[in-house]
Amino acid sequence: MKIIHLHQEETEIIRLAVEHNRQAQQQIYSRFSSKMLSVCRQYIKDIQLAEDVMITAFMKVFTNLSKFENKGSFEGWIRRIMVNECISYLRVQKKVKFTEDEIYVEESFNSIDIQFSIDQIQFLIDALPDGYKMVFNLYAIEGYKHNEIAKMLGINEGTSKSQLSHARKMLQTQINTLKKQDNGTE
Amino acid sequence: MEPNNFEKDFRDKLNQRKIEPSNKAWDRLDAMLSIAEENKTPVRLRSLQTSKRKWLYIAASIVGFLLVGTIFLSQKKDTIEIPKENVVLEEILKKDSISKQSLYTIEPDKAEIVTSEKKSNQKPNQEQIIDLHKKSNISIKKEQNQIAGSSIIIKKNQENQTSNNQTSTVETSKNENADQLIHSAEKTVVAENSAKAKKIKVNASDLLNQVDGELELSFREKVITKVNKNYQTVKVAVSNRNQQE
Repeated sequence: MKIIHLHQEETEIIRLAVEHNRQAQQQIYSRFSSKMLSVCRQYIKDIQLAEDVMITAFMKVFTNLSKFENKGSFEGWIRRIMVNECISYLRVQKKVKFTEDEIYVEESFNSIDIQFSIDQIQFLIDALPDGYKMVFNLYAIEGYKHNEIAKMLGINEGTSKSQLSHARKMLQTQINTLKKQDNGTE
Repeated sequence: MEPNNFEKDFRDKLNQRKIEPSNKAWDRLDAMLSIAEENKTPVRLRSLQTSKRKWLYIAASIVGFLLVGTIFLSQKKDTIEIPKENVVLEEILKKDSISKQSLYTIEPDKAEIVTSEKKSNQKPNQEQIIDLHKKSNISIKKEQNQIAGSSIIIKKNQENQTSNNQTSTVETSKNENADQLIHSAEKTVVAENSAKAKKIKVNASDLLNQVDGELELSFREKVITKVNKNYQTVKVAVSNRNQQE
């Protein structure tokens, strides 16, 4: 009953926001902004730039709100817009180019039992080059498939796979160094 | 490529993470939204205004075209009318000049006729005079209105002639029987008067027809001469070119 009530509330807020009701728009913003800034931060290291991208993405959310058909998750819909905005920012502003190497090796990684803090995770992701970072975020965090990522980034599916492989390899080595550091301190 | 353990950990932790944006973030978004909304409404208004202006421009241009057209047409009419008036004036002037000329030319003829053929009838004299008039007019080589003018003059002259003839017959009749001569003169006068009346009536319509016909003829002639001139110039030009080649 509570879920239905919440859903009804959400649709009502969306309806009001479509009619340029500023209070409704602010409600949507305050409900999702912190989560969405986290999403943007995954792709963009600079928190200020991440916020700028989030704001422009929210503008797109409100201008295209009438296109949302209340079928899927509203959060998922906003999240997709955020991710796309981050990708377009990286591709246009940072001019990220993907090396079209389709040679990738599936390596078996050692199971890592260490629990990382969120800051450590973000540190590891930030250390990745933008190309690897995008594919890794899209595949491992957002859950997109390689063909979807290939379409989103305008690259071959093989390139997406190779980019992920490289990202994983790089992360593995970084994790190993972190491990060593941790062991050293302990 | 199954997700590794650390990837699952990454996903869970990242999805739970929340980063509060700065307080200014909403203000910026609010400002952007209000600008976008302001832009939207003026755009609609502007489009409406521009469409209205467009219609105004179209209407104004149509009115302008109509005005220009009417002015142009009226001007054309005026220009056409002016030459007509000029032509009429010219005709009158020509008539006057011809009448004067013909009067001068007629007088010697009359004298000749009076002296040489004292006993002859007036009708042949008149015919001769008319012929002479025509000849004189042709020799002057005036345009369409010559004959019209001459015919008018002939009428006038006919009157003069009758009086002249009368005097001449009176002079000659000194040696002849006065009564017979008077009788004959009366007869001729009556006959001439009747003839005059008839002739004048006939001449009026004839004159108009003649004038009209000659006007047309002259126009045709003009056109023909112009065409001929142009043809000749073209011919010469072509021949010159051929020679040059």
